[in-house]
Amino acid sequence: MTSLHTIQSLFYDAVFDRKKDSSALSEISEYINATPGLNAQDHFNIYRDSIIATLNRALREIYPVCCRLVGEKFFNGMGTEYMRSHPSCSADLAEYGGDFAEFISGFKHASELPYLADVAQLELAWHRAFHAADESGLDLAALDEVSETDKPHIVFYLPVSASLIASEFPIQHIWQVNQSDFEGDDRVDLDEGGIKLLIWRQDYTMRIDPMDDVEWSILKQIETGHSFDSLCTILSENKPIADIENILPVLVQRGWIASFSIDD
Amino acid sequence: MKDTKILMNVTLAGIVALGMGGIANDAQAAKAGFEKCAGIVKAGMNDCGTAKHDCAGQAKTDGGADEWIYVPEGTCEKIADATLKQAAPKT
Repeated sequence: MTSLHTIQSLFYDAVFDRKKDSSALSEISEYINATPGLNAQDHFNIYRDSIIATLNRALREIYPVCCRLVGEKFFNGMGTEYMRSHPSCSADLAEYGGDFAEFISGFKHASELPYLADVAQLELAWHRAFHAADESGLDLAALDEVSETDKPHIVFYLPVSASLIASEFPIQHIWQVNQSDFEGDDRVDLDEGGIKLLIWRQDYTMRIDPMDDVEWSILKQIETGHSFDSLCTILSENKPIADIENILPVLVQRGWIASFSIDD
Repeated sequence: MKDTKILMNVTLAGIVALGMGGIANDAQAAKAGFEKCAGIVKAGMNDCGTAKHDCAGQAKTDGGADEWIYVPEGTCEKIADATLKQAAPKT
């Protein structure tokens, strides 16, 4: 008697051809009943093609620009290869493909497109921001009421939808010219320089905000979760970014700082 | 340490002052510039738009033609399968 777990593992190995020698396929076929006109492998193939097509479609919906950059055929091939090593770990299909960028950066057939992994990161950040919980912005009245003793323990947070992404390639420009409604000159010079971005959602507006090095280092420090007093200490010791008292209000105004708590 | 205290207070004052002029938090204001857009549950790429739809043929659950959300004016027509339910109010 074979255990359910054994059969499931075998089935999984066969669907994604994890052993790369189709041995799992011939083994699992013994457990599948043939019907007139369709043998066990035919039945199996229907299931396999369906699941691979579904996962590839999920990846294409999260990474449309990457798909456009390499073409659907290449993208599906890359996606199928990704599935072999990256099982879906969530019941929510929208969560599939979270480490696709990492996979792409090590995918040898894509090595001629060094920016592809960073574009994928941007697209994942976009996808996550789109699905993130709504937020109403920093509660200024509550912030005003924080007591003297609690002030050093304030911790500021970026929007829950936000991702900070830096790339040495002009990924925002690449992303823009590959939107389906883009009109104009779609050429991008890869040497035009890198970029630092905050990708987030403000109400119903998706935002990709570029920023300078100073803003970047402040947001990175905030992302780390420093308390207010150590944030002030760190930033004032770090001379180029000394004037936190001027910059922080601007970041709040832009919506880049969306909430706070008192750390105890 | 004293410097940090001053710095914190100055910074907080700067942030709180944003609320005085009504600069921040204006996002909750009237929905001028937004339109109601229906049938784009699919664009959200939920499970019924992909997993169920592909495999179980439950196309009926897809799209929710009566479901709508606010989107920025002019956005609705750019989304596949979306129907403009109500145009943005004229301001």
